[in-house]
Amino acid sequence: MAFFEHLIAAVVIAVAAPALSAIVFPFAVRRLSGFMSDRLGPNRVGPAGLLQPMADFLKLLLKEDITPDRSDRLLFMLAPVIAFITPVLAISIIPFSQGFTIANLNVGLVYVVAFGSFTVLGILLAGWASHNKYSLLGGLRSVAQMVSYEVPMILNIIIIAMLVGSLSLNNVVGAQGRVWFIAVQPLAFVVFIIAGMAELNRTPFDLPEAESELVGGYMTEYGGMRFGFFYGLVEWGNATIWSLTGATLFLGGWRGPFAGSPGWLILKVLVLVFVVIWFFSTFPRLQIDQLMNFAWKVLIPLSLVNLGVTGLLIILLPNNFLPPVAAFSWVSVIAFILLFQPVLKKSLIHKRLRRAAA
Amino acid sequence: MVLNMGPQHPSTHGVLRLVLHLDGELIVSVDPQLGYLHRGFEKLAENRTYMQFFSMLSRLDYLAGYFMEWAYVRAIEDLMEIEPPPRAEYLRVIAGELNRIISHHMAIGDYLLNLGAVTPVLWTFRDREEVLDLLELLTGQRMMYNFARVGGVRYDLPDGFEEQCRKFLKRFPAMIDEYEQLITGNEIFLARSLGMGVISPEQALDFGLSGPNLRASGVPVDLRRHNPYSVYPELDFEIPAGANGDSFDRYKCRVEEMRQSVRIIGQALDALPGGPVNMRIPPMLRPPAGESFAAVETGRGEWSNYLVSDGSLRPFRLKLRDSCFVAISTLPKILPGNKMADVVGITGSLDLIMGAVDR
Amino acid sequence: MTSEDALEAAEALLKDLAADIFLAGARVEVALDADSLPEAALRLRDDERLDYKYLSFASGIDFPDRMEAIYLLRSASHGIVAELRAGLDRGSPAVPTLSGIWSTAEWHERETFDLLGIVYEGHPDLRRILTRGEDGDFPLRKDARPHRVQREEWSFKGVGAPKRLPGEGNRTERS
Repeated sequence: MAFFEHLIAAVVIAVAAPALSAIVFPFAVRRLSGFMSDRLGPNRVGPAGLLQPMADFLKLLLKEDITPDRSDRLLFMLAPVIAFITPVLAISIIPFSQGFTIANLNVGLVYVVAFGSFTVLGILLAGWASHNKYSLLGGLRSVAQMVSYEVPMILNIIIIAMLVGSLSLNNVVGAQGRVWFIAVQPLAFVVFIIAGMAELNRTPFDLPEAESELVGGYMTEYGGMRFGFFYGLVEWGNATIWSLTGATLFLGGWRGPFAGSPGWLILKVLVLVFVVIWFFSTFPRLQIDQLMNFAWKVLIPLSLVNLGVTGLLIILLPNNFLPPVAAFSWVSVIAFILLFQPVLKKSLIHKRLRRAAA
Repeated sequence: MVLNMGPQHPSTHGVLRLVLHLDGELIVSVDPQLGYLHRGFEKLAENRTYMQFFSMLSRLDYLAGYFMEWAYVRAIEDLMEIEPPPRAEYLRVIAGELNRIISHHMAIGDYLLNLGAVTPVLWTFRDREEVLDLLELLTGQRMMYNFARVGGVRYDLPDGFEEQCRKFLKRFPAMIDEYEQLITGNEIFLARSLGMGVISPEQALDFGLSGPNLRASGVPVDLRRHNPYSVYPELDFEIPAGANGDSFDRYKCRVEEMRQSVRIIGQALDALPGGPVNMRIPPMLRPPAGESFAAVETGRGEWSNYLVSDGSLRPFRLKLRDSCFVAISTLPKILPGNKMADVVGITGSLDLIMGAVDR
Repeated sequence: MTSEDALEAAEALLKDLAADIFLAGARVEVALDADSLPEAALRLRDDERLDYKYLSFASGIDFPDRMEAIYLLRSASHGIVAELRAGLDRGSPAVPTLSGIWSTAEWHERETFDLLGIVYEGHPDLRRILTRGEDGDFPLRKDARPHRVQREEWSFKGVGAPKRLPGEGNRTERS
């Protein structure tokens, strides 16, 4: 009987979490980015606009289901589902609190990474099957981008696995009893955030959808609930998985002051999602070549150096490697941030703007 | 791959259609197709009396419609050899500079929206609303003003305008600083704008660009200073110019011009003389036969009218010269070799408005 | 530089080409033959004093007895506007193109061709630009008459291959 109870709980969590995130986060985006850009955002439906996502959801459900003429019908219908499977499956190994995990896999990190790469398949299929040039460009962009940013992402997950000495997410949380890994490996955390934005197609890296260039990218031809699938479930489901993984790897998972509980985990997820929204309302979009350059010329070498030095320190000081690793990581993250200080270039700009009073 | 971008596309500023030949993400050639908004203004002018045509003018460049009226009345005044009273000239300058500010608001916000930033456009729209309020107070309309008249302007200043305008002028530089804080130092914005769509000074003159697009290339030609009209010679302002002619310089020129507009409006309010704001002119205008040419510097560059009159009630020929038409004609020359994302980036930085292009 | 100086300089420069050079308000107006237009334009552009590097616009006027091609020139170094005018035969208006001298002329001449039917000889790409009119349908000519919009009864004939739009090229090309 316990098995069935466990199964039902698992299904409920796995389906409810992405669905809930698809309802809550778009609303949060609209409200928060509304406040950041000095406007109100949706505030008419329900108290403070809280029912707005429900209204949107209903509208999307009731809309006509359009499949473009000359599209590949089967793939066109399958693509959102394939892209949606990832968050549902990946959520099953996140430890929500002490002993509360749907599946305690001992290769949990590999599993997360493996299913993280699945979304790209759905997006590529969507881009291809739509028979639209914008969609195709968007799909191809997303493949290039997500595959490139997978590499630094994985390198940083390996760093965490080395620090813990295990691939199980439960052990990762267990190892953060004294200190969270964000304090030990801030460099890995920064790279994880940046690569995550690219994985999720969020704003500085939202080229696959790029509404001002490619209309809607891979989802140009989708309408109604199929669009809802992509916009809500896939994007925000993935964002949830990404934040859950990030919170587990770097922010101590369900641990927190007083007592560890799923509440702390959810709070950390919200903080990470807030970072996503914050980026969204502040940054313009990169260009595809700049994006690839950034992955291959900056993030990957950085991660490799980090990986090498961390590994070396672990071998040299097998008993007490955390302080030196933390020292190295803090120094390099500060150097990294200084390198990209806008101040350096600002002086150049002011020099360049000469005023001519003719 | 041939990509047919527009006329229905989120960032083609109306109904511009670009036929792009792409090699992957790289642009091989561009062929702009115009005419989706062609309403035949030049022909319509020939079939209407001078004043009947007047109300249509601000529909050309609908984001800064006052400049079109200004150029038109100047062409007629030139033919009739009348000069409006000084107070009217100052009011024209005030309305014109307020229009320049909203035009640049739109240009900056839209450019950043094209680059994928959501917030700047909302911030500029927030402040644009204040200027629109001022213009509504001054002219009675937010966008289609009908404010200029042959021999003056329609209304004198309403009560409270000067006070409200001065209050706005005091606050506005801080608002511009706010945009600059958000945009100018942004690493990604710099990566997307520095060195993109470079136009050298010789090219800019050869292409016939004007306004901020020309000045960004380092040619400090501004008709307000260069070919002075109205009371601009009496006002003290600078002409910001770029050095590299890239998208960043075009953006920066617009920002600096907004600061200069604040200065100009302040001085115009200070120096505002008394007296009438318009003069008695015959209800049915009948300018003597002849030709006249009048140009004004709009937010987007040179807007000029070439008016041929045969002494009748209607213009014989009215040629409307628009700077966005010229700016689009440069696209086939500067876009090839850039990436797909720069199509919207560079067109955004050129600040096009299709209502004026297609006429 | 004043208008008088510009007039003097233009007279010295163009005395063998122009039929008449005079001042119209503040502009220097140069009336000349269609054939001598490119040569005069080139001289005005390359002259150091006049320095007309900038073409404001090219257009045309349809008079009852003749057609005129006009070019408005500006300079970056002074504020005097110059105007080139060439009278053309109204039956078959043709004038050599200036798009090799100022590249902005290319589109202005396309527009003038589109609206007035002035043929610019030697133009690299003389297509219609604003309208999609039939041949010989030039809206800005004084004898142009509005024509009735042709309507046909609409009926659903199924969804076929999309029609090729002008300028779109070959749809089968997918590379």
